[in-house]
Amino acid sequence: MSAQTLSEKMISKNHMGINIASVTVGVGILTFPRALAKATSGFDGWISVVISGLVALLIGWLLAKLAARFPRQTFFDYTAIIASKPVAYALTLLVCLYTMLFVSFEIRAIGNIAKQYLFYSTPVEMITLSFLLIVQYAVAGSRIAMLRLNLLFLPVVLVVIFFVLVFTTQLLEIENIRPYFSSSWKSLLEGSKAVGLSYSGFEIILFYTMLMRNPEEGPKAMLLGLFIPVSLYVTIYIFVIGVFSAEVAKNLTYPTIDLAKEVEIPGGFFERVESMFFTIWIMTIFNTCVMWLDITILNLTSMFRKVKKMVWILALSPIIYFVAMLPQNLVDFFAFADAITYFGMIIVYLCPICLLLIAIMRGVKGHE
Amino acid sequence: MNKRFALPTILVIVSALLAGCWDQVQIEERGFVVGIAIDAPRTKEVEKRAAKEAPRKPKVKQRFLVTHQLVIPGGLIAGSQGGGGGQNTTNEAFLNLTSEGDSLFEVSRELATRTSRAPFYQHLKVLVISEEVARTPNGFANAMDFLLRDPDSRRSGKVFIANGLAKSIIEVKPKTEKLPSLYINSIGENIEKNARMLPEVRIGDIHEELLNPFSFVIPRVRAEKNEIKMAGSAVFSLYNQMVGFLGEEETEGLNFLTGSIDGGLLKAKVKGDLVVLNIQGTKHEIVQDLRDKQNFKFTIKIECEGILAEAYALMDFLSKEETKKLERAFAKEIERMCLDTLQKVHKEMKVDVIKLGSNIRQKEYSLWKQIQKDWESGQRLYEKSTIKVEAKVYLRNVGSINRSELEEGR
Repeated sequence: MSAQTLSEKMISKNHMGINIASVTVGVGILTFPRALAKATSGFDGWISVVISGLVALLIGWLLAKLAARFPRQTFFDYTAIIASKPVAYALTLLVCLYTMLFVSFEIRAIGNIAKQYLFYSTPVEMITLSFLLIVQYAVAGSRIAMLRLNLLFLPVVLVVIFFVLVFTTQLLEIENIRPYFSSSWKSLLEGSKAVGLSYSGFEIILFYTMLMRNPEEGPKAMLLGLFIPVSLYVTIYIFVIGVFSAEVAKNLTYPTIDLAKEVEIPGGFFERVESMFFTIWIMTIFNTCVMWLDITILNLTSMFRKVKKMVWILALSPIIYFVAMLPQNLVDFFAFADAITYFGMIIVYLCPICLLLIAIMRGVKGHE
Repeated sequence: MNKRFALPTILVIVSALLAGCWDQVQIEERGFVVGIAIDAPRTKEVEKRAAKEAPRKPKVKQRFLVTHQLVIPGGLIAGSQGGGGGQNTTNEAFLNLTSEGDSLFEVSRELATRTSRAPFYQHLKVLVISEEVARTPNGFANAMDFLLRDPDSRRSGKVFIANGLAKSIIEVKPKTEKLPSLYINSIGENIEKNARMLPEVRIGDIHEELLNPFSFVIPRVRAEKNEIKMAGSAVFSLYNQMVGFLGEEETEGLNFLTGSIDGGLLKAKVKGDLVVLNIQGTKHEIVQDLRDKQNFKFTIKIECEGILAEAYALMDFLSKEETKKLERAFAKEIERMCLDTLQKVHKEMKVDVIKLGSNIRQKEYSLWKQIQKDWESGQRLYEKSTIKVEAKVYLRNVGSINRSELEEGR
C-alpha cells in the first residue's frame, strides 16, 4: 500500500512543519493556561512555555535525526534494523496503542466540550460517534491529500485566533500582568511540565519523515513546526493572564474558551464570537485526530502488510470509540489525558532516543 | 446483488441520523434574559410552604428572590399597537418574572414552568443585587456562583448594587428606552461624562475580585419613579461582604485616587465665586515608601487636565497669574475630595479600595508575600499606613470667551 502513496507527490519541509504544528495544537490549547497559572501563579508562566518548547525542540530534533537516518523506511522497518524484529514488533505495537488512545482522547474531548458549550441535550456518545465517522472518512482516502488539509486549515485557525485576541486587547489590565519575574525556578519548571503535556504530537516526525522529499530537512521542519505552537501558546497565555488575572485563570475550566467568550465587538450586531472560535478549534482537533488515526494505521500496515487499510480502520474504530467512552467525568478525563502523555513520553520520546543512540554506536544507516 | 442493497441501506441509516436534532430550539421559544435582579425574600411564606411540602428536605441558610427580565420581541417594534400585536396587549417590550428559591438555578428552572420561553442567558446585560443580599456573609459570592459557572452565560454582563430593592431597579419604565435593562446598561456607559459614576464592573471582574484578597467597589443604583440614578458605590470587604456605601462625592474622590476618571467636572471657588472645570483626562501615580513596616507611606500623585467650562468669578483668565491661581484652586479641591474619601475608606471603613495592596504586589512582590496576611487583616498594616495626596491641575483652554461680564457691570 505504501508504494502507491509514495508514488504521489512527496511533502516538503514547510509542509512537514505545518503538519507538526497542526498535530500539536489540540485539546491542550484550551486547558494549558489553567495548569500553568496554577503552577507558576503569574505572568511568568510564559517562560515555562518557552522552556518546555525548547525541551520539545531538543527531543524533536533527536527524533527527526533518527528518522532522517533511514529515508523511505517506516518506523517498524528501521526499528527492526536497529534492534531486531521482535523488539520492533513490540515497540510498534505499543506506539499503535499510544496513538490509538490519543484518538480516543481527542474525540472524547470534542464530545465533552461540544456538549458543555454547544449541544446541551445531545448525548455525548452521539457527538463523539459522528466526529469519529468523519475522521474515518478522512483517513480512508489518500494520505498526502489528507495531510494537505493541514495546509488549508492552519492559516484559518491562526487568523481567527488572532482576530479573537485583537478584540480582547481592550480588556487587558496591566495590574494583572505585574509583577514580572517573580516566580521561583522550581515553579517555572513545574509549569514547564504542566505545559509540556500540550506539546505532545511532534513525534509524528518519526512516522511521516518517510513521506518527505528531503528527509534530512526533518530537523528544520521541526523548528518551524514547534515555533508556531510556542508563539501561539505564549500569546494566548499572556492574554489569558492579562484579561483574567492568574487567580481567575486557575479557576476556569477552559480559560481559552472563556477568553473567546469575553470578546465584545463594538456595535453589538455580532455578540457571540466564541462560535467562530469553536469552529476553528474543532478544525484543529479534526486535523490532530486524523493524523493520529492515520499513524496508527500506517504502523499497523507496516507490520502486517497483507491486511488492507480499510480493514484496520473498520476494526479499530469500535475499540477507539469504546475507550473514548470509558472516562466517566471531567476529572477522569483529565487523568486519562495525563496518563496517555506519560505513556507517550516513554514510548515515543525515550525509546526512539535510545534507538538513535544505538544506531549511532553501531553505525547503522538506512539505504537510499 | 451486493451493491443493489448497500445503497438503499446506507440511505435509510443516514436519513435516520439526519432527522434527529436534540438541541433544536426555535428562536421564538427562547426567552432572552437581559436583566436579573436578586433580592432577599420579603416574607417567609414561600419558605414555609416549601417546608410543608417536603419537611425532611435539608434547609439552607439563604434564600433568594430573583427577578428575571425577559425580552418580548414584539414589543420592541415601534408603533405595533393594536391589530397585529397578538398576545402582547400592554405593548411592553419586557416581562419581569419573580420567583423565590434557595438556588439561582432552581429559580431559573422554575421559570420554565411559568413562561412559554425558557430562559436563555447568553445576552444578559445587567445584574442587580440588593444591598440586603450583599450585606449577608457570603451572600454576594453565592448569588454570583450560578452565573459564573453556567457555561451558557457570559462574563460580560454588568453588575450593580441596588440601594433598596433590586427588583424595583429593573422595573422602572424609562421614557427613552424600551427595555429597562438596556437603559441601565447605557447609563453605565456614560462614565466619561460624569466622574461620580464608578467605572462599570463586569461579571468577570467580580470573579476576579471574589478570588483576590482585596476589598472592592461596585456601582450603586437607586430607583426613582421613571428613572434610575447611578451614582455612588457599594464597598465590599476582602471577605466579599458589603460593608457600606460611598456617596457621590466620595465616589468621585475614589475615582481620582484610583485614576479611573475619563471625564467629568470639578467645581472650585476663586475669589468667592464659582469656577467649573471640564475634566478631560487624569494621570495617576502612587509613590510608595515601604521602609517602615508599621508605617508605610504612600503618596498619590494626581495630574488632571481640562478646560474651563463655566466661570462666575470675574477675572482675566488669559493672564498667567490668574491661570495659576485657578489651577491651584482646582488642585486644592481635588485634594479635599480625596482626603474626604480617604477619611471614610481608610479611617472609618478600613478597606483598601484604592488598591494600595495591589500596588505593592505589583512592584514589590517579595515584600508583598511576607505581608499579604497582615495587610487588611492580621496586623492591619493598611490601617497603620500614611496616605498623602498631591494634585496638580493643568488648565489647557478657557473656552470661547474670556469674560462674560465686566467688573463694573456688577
